[in-house]
Amino acid sequence: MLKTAKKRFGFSGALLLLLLLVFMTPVVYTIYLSLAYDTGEIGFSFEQYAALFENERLIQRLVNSCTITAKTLLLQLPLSLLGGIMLVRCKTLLTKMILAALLLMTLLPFQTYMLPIFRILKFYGLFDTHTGLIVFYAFSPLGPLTVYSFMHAIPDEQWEAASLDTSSLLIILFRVILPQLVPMFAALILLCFAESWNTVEPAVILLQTDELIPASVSLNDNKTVSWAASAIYAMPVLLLYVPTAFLTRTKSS
Amino acid sequence: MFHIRYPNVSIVERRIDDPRIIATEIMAGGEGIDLVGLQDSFMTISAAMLLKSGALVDLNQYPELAQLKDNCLDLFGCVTISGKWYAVPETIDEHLFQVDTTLAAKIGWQIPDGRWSVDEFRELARRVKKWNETAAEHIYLLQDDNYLLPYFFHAFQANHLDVFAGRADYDSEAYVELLRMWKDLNDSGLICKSFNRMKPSQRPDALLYDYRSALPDFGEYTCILPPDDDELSKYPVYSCALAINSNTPHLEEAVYFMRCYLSPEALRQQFYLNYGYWLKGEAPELDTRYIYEKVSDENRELWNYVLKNSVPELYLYDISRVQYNALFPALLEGQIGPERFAAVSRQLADMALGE
Amino acid sequence: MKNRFKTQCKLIALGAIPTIGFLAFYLVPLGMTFKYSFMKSAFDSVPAGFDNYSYVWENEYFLLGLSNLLKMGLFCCTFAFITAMHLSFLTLRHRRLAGLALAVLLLPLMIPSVCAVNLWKKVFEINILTPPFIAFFALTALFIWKCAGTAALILYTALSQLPQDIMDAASLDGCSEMRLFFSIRFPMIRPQAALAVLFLSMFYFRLYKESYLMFGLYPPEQMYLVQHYMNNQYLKMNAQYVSAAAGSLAMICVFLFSFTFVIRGKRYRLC
Repeated sequence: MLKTAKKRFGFSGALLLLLLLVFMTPVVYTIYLSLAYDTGEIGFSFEQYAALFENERLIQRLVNSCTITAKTLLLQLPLSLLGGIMLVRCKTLLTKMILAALLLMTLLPFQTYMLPIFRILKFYGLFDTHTGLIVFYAFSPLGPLTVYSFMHAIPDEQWEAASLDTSSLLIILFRVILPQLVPMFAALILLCFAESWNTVEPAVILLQTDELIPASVSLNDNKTVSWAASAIYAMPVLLLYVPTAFLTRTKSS
Repeated sequence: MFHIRYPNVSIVERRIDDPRIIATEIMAGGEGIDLVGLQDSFMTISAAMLLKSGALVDLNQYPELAQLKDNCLDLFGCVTISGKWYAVPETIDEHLFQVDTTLAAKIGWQIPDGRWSVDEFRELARRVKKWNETAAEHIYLLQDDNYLLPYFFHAFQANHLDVFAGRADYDSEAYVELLRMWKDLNDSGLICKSFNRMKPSQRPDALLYDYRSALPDFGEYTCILPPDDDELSKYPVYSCALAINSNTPHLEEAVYFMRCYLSPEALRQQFYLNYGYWLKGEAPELDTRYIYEKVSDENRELWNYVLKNSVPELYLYDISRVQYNALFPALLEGQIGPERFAAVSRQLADMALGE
Repeated sequence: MKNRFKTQCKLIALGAIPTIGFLAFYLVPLGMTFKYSFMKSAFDSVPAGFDNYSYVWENEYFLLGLSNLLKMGLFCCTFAFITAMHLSFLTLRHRRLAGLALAVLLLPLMIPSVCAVNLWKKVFEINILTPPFIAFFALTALFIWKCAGTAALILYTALSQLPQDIMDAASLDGCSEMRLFFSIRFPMIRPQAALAVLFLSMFYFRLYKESYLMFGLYPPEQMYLVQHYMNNQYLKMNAQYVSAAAGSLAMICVFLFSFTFVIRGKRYRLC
């Protein structure tokens, strides 16, 4: 029995670990390059990080990234939840059309509507402000689609059974439905965070004052510290990632 | 001058590096970009592409501007494409080859007076190569001042790149021959690169120096025209120029600004390298605080001749960047041959022009 | 009936704000884009009818971009899905490693594109002279690395929620692991598999960003996508062609969605 269990782990477990190693390698290599000497010497050095932190402009941009992303998440998460719930439970032709429109918007590149969104934000006085960019991402189709995709798997019978006990939609949601969807929250937080944290084109077009621009726009500007900048820029995502991955694990185990 | 008529209009200069911002603001219209400063070698969007899309106003529509051209030398060829005059030059930089007369005498080369051909240039290359084989010191044929591409390729592009017709001719035999010549010159050690317009005293021993600048910078150095032939019949002239955005809500003010800019009064006071010498019949005293040397009459004549026979030095930026960063180094290191270089350039140009 | 109506109203009220926001910041701009597609240019608002659409559909590079988009998409999404299936299956077999596996697999999606591309360019030595098959492989590998993990998470979540007694019963009947997977597990997670494919497709359409960072405005012909066409037309200030291309892409998507809905509807009727 023990031998069989070991044999089972032996091949497929090793394969899994190997694949995980392959997936981790780029991240590890980026961190390695950020600690390597510029001259190619063997050894570790923090010179890239030292140079990075002396760059006030980059620090300002990192702060901007944090501000934009935090505020976007605060707005985007509840809006996505509300939108997703409506799409799942309200089965009308209109919601189906909205769903199709959400799907369509995730497929079309930003260039498609870059010019109109520029004009609209200018019209509303939101151009060249963090608010404009935050609002743009808060209503992004990615959030409601993610919620819809996960919630769609919950059978109607569960909703109906819960509604027999209570007519309050909020109680049904918070006591019955949402507790089952912890992986959904993890995925939603991660995807929404990654979307606004890694913003490039919308930030380039909608923000022009240098003091407002986030770091994602200019990670490659300074070639000598680009690896350190990449490693630093990936850190908050990793820091957010650990508790959400833990949440997913707890729920699935 | 402008504020006398429009006292409440402020003139704000903005520097925008990202082409997406430029494209968005120009297309959106409204308050934003009224006048566009064009500098082809740094822009992702070529001036010719902007003109083709209708983003720039054809200044020929305004007789009051066309009249002001009559005050100037015949220099508007460098801001005209397919008969459309799209901008007013701020600076005009030409290529002239500065000659080291001492080296020329040493190798017994008769400096050409006027036009000379690419075949004569090849003959000169053979002469210098032969000299280097026997002499104790090595001399270079040509110092290339690293203006993204070597002169001959600027000239080819300027003569053959037709954005409106969608043609670039990179795969023509003439272009491949030029590449072959350039490779041979480099392999023979006849080309040296320099940067940032070195003064003659700072330069290595090169017979010719491809120098691109405005007239005052040529001073009294011995200069000759770049070589030409049927394929390189016109001279590429690089200009930073000012154009009007078609979508500007302030068209009237923009046209008037251009009138002021092109007026004799403004031209005389212009940027330090253009001290009104664009004006016909005027030879103003050039302020020696800003220029290195007095300009010789011969150089002035050469300069005017080039301008009369000029075409804009156009770039398809992404292609020029790829040629500079990847293709030329690979060609000179022997990783690719001229045919492959030409084929890749042709493929890129087909995409850029065919879209 | 009355209760149902009340519930529907509550739901619509809940979703009103996100819907209005989505309309204002996404659908209205899209509508404006369609309007541009019927204009002569961004600088001349004279109506041009369907001239822009004919120009675009007669343009060899638009057609090249579209065919590459579909061919590459099929290839990338298929391999990414197969990779995700393998990963989810392996993770299911080794649940003790599930936490670690999911943590590692979702990591690539979180890394900014510019960081990932810098690394890929260094490893594969990407430049204009890179052979097309290496360039293709590099981009596909980047896509699989970035996105297969998310698909694996979706599939793993679905697989881990399947009732164990069905699997045990099948095993007792002598079903092999492979048979169990393909005949029982996979059919039961078809909706989640479709969801994984949907996410992969969404990420695939966003792969243009990485392609642009890797190859610039003009990649090798085999990698030239319709998004390159649109981006380059935008930079050339041909908003009318960008809009016509976007309109065409949207119509293709709508056609595919409708086709899917019709097929699903027919299958339900057949059942």
